[in-house]
Amino acid sequence: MRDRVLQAAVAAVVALLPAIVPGYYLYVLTLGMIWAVAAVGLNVLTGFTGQISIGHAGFVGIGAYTSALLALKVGWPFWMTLPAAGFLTAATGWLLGVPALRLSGPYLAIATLGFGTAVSQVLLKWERLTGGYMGLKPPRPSLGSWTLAGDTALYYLTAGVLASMTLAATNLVRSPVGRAFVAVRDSEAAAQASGIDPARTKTLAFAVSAFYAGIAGALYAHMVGYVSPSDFNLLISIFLMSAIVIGGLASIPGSVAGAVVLTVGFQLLSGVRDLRTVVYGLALVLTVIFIPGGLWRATARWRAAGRQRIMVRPSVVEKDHAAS
Amino acid sequence: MALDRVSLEVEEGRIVGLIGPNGAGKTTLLNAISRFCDPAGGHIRFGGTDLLGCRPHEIVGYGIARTFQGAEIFPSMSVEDNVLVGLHAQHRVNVWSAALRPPRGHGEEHWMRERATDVMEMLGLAALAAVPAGALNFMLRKRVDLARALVSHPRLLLLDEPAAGLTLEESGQLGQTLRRVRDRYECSLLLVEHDMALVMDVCEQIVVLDFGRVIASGPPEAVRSDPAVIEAYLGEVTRA
Repeated sequence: MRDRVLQAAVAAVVALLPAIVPGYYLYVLTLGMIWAVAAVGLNVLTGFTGQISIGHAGFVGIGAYTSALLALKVGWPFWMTLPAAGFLTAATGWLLGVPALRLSGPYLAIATLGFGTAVSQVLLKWERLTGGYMGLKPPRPSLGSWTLAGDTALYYLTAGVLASMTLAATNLVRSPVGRAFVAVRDSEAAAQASGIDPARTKTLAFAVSAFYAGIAGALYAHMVGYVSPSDFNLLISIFLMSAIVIGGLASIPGSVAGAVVLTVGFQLLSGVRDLRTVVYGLALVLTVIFIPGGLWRATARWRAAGRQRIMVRPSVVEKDHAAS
Repeated sequence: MALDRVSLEVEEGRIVGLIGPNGAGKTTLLNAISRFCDPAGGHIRFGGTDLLGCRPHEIVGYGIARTFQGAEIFPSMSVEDNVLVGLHAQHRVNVWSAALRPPRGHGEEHWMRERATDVMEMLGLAALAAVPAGALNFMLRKRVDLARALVSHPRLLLLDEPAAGLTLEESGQLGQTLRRVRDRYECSLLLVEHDMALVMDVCEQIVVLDFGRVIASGPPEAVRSDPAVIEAYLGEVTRA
């Protein structure tokens, strides 16, 4: 019941914000929602399936460049480049998932880190296609002759995409497919005995996760109106990882909350550049120590007064309880 | 070599016990049947199929389910979700239908929950359906593991030390439960077990392994009085 009330309240706030928030902050919120799409995808892979990726900015970059190039060189409209970016990035994720199957823990982290670095190098060096460090200037999203240019229009478009992507992810993690993701994370042996192919499940999680990153990349390219290889560097990968840890591993709403809070927080601290990094690190450490389940779960008691039923909790929380 | 020329048959609907001293190769045999490890040669046939060509996740599709010695569960999931995972080979939900419709939206979830509830009621887990499995004690975790295996309605259920870590009273109850499982789901049971009271009580046929070889096989009374068995296994127990 409270969940319904909360959903309605969030929807109302999101719908009304453009009326009260000045244009620049609306743009920052739009960026936050774009990163939220990528964070939701990363959480499906890392939070639910237990596969770490610290090269996720690479997927976002592939999506951004795919959409930008299809718009600039082929002349596709945004409503076609957006899904195309998603699917092409998903295919890349599937391919990366295949060698990644043999790796886990720190080895997987390093392999994905290498992938992320390789993507930005390719984008930089393949000048004939990508324009090198000069980057690309993709057009604003348009539908027929109607171009969405203003901050408000772009804000609503991003909110709509984020809402549907969040809904799809929520459905997915509660379905038998989502249970298979968590099963592989929690006990590979029991998962196998139940008929789950861990290899297939992990590559599927990589593909789904990359699909989200690709969509986020396409949104980024056309909202910002400019992409360059340095937009998708290691810091972005770490930013996304921090967003899901602060928001809550294995939590879809937590991913959104984490990404939006971090993006807005960064902007508020943009006057004090050096302090920003300190606050950022401090926020991570404090979250891990005091609310290991993340921001979203920290509010769980308030949200579900009578009916406390959390379907999936992250394994880190589990270990934490076992230790105490 | 853990196993050497072991030959073993499980007839339909029987409860067969596999016993032997530590290191005799019991769990290895169970792992070979469920394809978690590869024998150097030989055959493992089930119905008409040679299981050696299968990978571990394909076994349940042929009607073979298993539990694990240390109770392998999914700690972060509710008991009900643990059991539902056991039906993975039987639902037809793919990533598209899962993402585009809410969980209650497709017909699959309904029959799956019915099957899971049925098994949970039989094993006394129904009241714990919403509890995270990681919060349960060892005995209940073992039951969750069993429920997860049983929900697939296997024709052969492999149990790796179902009584390990249970009290005397609990393992007495387990005997009754296993018989009920067999009668209700009409499956064969092959259990690896150290608890002699349980094995003698519940098994209709017992196979004794020692140093990777079958040293005796037959009904409990015959195995109990077999000199080779007394020497290898029961002898140690009575001396102890």
